[in-house]
Amino acid sequence: MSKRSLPFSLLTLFTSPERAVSIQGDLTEEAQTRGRFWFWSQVLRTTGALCWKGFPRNPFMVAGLTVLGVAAWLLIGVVLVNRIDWAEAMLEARGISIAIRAAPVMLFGGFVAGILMVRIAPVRGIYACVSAVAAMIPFVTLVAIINARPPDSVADFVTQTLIGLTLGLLLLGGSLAMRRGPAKANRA
Amino acid sequence: MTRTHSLGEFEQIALLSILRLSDTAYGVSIRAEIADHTERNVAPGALYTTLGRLEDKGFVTSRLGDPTPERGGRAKRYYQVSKSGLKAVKRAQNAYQNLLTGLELLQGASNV
Repeated sequence: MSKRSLPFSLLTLFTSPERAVSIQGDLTEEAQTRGRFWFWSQVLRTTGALCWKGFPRNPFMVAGLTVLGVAAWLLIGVVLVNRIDWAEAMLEARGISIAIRAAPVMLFGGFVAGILMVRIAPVRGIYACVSAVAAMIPFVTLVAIINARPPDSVADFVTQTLIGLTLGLLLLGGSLAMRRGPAKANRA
Repeated sequence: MTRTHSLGEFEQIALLSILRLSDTAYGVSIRAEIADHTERNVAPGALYTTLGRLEDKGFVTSRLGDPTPERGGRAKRYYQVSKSGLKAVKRAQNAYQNLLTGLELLQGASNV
């Protein structure tokens, strides 16, 4: 039995490994008549449903963790490249050098922030990662709208792409931290 | 004070389906039972979250079956309605019946 499959990894973000195995088994069984597309769409929909329904009733802890995670992400940026004007780098992207200097920091910061959130609060941390991504999506959209005109430079394109990737890395960091232990703390 | 949990409509449907299926109630069979009797195509995610909630409330219990090849060697999780679940579904159905008594809503329903 391949417990390390992608569907299993996704489901265990929001439910116990024992439940994830039986859910994946149910979907596998039905997929024999419904096909692979149905299987993957239901894996994603079920993961979303488990995330939404399992969201902690008291959101303050999650909100606090979200703020902490985003703050950690920005702090890493300030410490590592303290001369970068973040607002300018994200909204204007005036020079390729800024984008290139900011790139590894933004990506690394997102990844570390995800790990940090799950390490601080094993079960709620992954919800904080999802919240952080949800909170940052309007910001990313705003940046995309501001830069909707034809790109002035490669830096515009690079910066926008990096901001999007950062959100992915935030979730990836949290997911990896979950797989290394805290997933076991989920409801049995 | 004892805390009593109320049942939502879909929770009642899930509980009644598990009762009908007896010992063979697991994710796939419960969805099929619901589809057969209510003509509702329930998303797997909605069913699993409902079953989890019912388990949290103590209305259902679950156990793992044996792994089967058509499921990629993964075990089925069988569900059973607990005594408190049975009481809750009876209470909810009685409430519906009491509310319907005296109304003419269902008269001639079989002709529709």
